[in-house]
Amino acid sequence: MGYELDWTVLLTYKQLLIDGFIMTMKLSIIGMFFAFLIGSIMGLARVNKNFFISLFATYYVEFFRNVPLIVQMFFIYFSFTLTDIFPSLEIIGNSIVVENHNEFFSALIALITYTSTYIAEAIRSGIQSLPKGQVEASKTLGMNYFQSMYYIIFPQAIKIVWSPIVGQFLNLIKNSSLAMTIGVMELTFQTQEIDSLTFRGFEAATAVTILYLLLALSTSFIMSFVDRYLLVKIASKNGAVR
Amino acid sequence: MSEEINSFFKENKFLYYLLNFILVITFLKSFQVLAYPEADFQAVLTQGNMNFILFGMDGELGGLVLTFILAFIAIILSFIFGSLLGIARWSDIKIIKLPATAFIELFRSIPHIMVIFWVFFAMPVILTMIFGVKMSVSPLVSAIIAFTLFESAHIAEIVRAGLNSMPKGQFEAAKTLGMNSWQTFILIILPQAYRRMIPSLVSQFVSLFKDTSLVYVIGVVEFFRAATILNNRIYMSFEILSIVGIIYFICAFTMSQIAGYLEKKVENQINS
Repeated sequence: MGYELDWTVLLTYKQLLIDGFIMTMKLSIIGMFFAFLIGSIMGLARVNKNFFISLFATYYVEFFRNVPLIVQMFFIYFSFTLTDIFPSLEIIGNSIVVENHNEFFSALIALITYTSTYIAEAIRSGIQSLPKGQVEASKTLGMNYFQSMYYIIFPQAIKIVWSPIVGQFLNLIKNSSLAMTIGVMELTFQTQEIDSLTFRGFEAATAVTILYLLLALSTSFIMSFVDRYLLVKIASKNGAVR
Repeated sequence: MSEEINSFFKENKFLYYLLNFILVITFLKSFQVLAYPEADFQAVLTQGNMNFILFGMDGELGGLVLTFILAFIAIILSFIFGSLLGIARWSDIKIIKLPATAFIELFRSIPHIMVIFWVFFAMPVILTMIFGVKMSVSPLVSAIIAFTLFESAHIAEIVRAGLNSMPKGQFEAAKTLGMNSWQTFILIILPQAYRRMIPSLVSQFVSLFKDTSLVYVIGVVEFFRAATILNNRIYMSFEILSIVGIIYFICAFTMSQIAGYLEKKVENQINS
């Protein structure tokens, strides 16, 4: 009573896998961009001298970091109808060719809040690891707060903590598979779809696992490229080569 | 101005905690009033509902208790396997180093939810192929196996980093005292390395605790699954999910505070 493997099922349903892969890519790329943006802002706010700004940033980080991602997704998805609250999401959703706006944006917002807290922690530790003289030197040169942050502190800090941030990006790609629980049709969801259509879950899961491996490997490759060329360029343009 | 506030709160820790408490309550309440004014927490916080999501159904293990049991078993198993894997990857013996590396890299780069599905759906198939008898694995057991697989991969990396961080002088000093390599490893290196790893291990366990909510997908009635079952019954998603979120927050935040405290203690010990 063996189990006969039948890989042709993947060819028959390859369109499902391709659609799922594109959906995972959309979630991960948009998520990475905004998570990095919000994470940077929160990381800078946490080391701000102002007591209340840093306190509120701490609240944001501690709250969204300690609640599981799946709970955040369910909370946003089941408690609110995002397209009713923000009608402009319909237009954005149509422009990036997503069908179920509510599901997609609930998953996306939860991914962004969850990942941005980890990125904020990484950037905070990067800034705190810089010698104090850097801030003082930029002050001496007559820079204001934003100038010294933008030209001196941030490029150096990001260079130090780039590899933990890439780790968080990879985590975001992996965590985007949780979006299947609220019905976003991404890669893991399509595994279940193929399984329920053909009872060939084993083959589908193998294919999806390989796709995830490829996605993770190519992301870490691209990010190491960014690290080697882009960040060095930014740092040298701003004259802050270490 | 803000430095004065900082130093004032450093001297009066109690006032600082009180301020935080009041601010957090105000935030949560104002969020609820703005976002969902018709929330009715009294209807959710009844004895029966709370019993269900905290302890599960009568006569069955479930709810928050099952979450803790699951996390506890997974922590012990993944600590043992993770240590073995980490030491295997750290060692110079090729024949155990390569499989350990492959295992760690594989399970670190596929999503946790996929691992859970793999164990739950594919393991019976594989067992059938090997033994030729139809076998099935209960959801709880497969959840524990899945957690052990991917958490031990994460813990192995922590163990390897801890071992790599040991200064070379420790090995040389042990050699000078006439110890062989086993004695050096077990008596000198491991105890010191584990002390350095404690903070990152604790924060990994916090994330394992948060990840237990993922077994929702294979139908283990732990805390989150129980909450969604309750939600399907009475359909008050805002109230139920905010209570669930707050309880998860309290548990995970306490653990991460312990991790921060341990980190400071370990740093002091290493520096002194």
